[in-house]
Amino acid sequence: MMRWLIIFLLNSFIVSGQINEELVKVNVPKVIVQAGKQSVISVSVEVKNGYHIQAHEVRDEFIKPTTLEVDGGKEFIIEKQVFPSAKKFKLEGTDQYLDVYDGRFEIQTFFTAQKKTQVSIHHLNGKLNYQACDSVRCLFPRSIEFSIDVDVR
Amino acid sequence: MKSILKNLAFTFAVMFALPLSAQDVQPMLGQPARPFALNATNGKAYSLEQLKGTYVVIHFAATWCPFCNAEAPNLESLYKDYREKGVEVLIVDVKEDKELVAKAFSRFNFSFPILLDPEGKVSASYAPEGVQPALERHEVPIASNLIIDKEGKIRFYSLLNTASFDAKLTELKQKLDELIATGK
Repeated sequence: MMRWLIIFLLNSFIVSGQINEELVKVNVPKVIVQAGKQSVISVSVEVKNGYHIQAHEVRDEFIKPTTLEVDGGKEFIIEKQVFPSAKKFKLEGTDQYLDVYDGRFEIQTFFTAQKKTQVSIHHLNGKLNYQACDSVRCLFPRSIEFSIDVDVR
Repeated sequence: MKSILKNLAFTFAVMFALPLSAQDVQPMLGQPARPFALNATNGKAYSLEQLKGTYVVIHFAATWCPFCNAEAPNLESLYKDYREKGVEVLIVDVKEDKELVAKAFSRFNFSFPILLDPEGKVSASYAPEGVQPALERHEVPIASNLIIDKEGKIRFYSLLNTASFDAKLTELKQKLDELIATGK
């Protein structure tokens, strides 16, 4: 009886830990910009060890690429984005490769603050869309929403 | 104290052995296949029941799944090679829109049905108990292949393993040959 109680408690602990695990983490330092000027948002992404996510540019139109959405509202003009170079992941048993990201990488989003943008700290909404796989599973596409602090001076 | 240590040792053995064996050993073998009836992209309805008496190969897929797409041409070849031997092939697409599925899979020219599991209920019913407990159950069978025998029992179940990904379906064909040869 004691044995099964211990098994139940420890398994409950492990399962809940797995459910809460974050496959992909996002970190965005505060961005400083002057009204009417350009600046860059650097989104730092960390993919959990053992996983990869599809790159921004994919070889198959039905593969879900990694994309970053930034809502600049009326105050900011979102311009080009720069994604890192992809790594090649071989699909074993085929001659095909996937373009993927793993580990830590950065996505840059260039933007311009409108001339009339109020001097204060603005909170922009960001969303990272990705589809992750590890060696034994491919997960449904997921998104992470986060806030970006932009200090207009 | 000795008893507690013994219990803990047993517990850790169970905890760490089960997840490993769940990946290495095929799950659900010998179990009756979960019945289902689904609509296909061709507009027809299909049920597992109506295929009783044949060998049924089921592949759980999604259009975004790179492993599913890599394997797709080989599934079509398998169907062409084995349909005269009483083998049917079904793709069960999990939680995707009919138009997207039809468009994405049209490039493979499948001559077997592509079934739509819009809520993932069928996929969830084939998720082996205890495997990938952190995932939603309908996610677990994605990219898996199963063989259901003539009596409706599961005879083969390969969960995805990208390190030894069997895109050419070699193991599945071996099992099919074995089943066909023995008439089971």
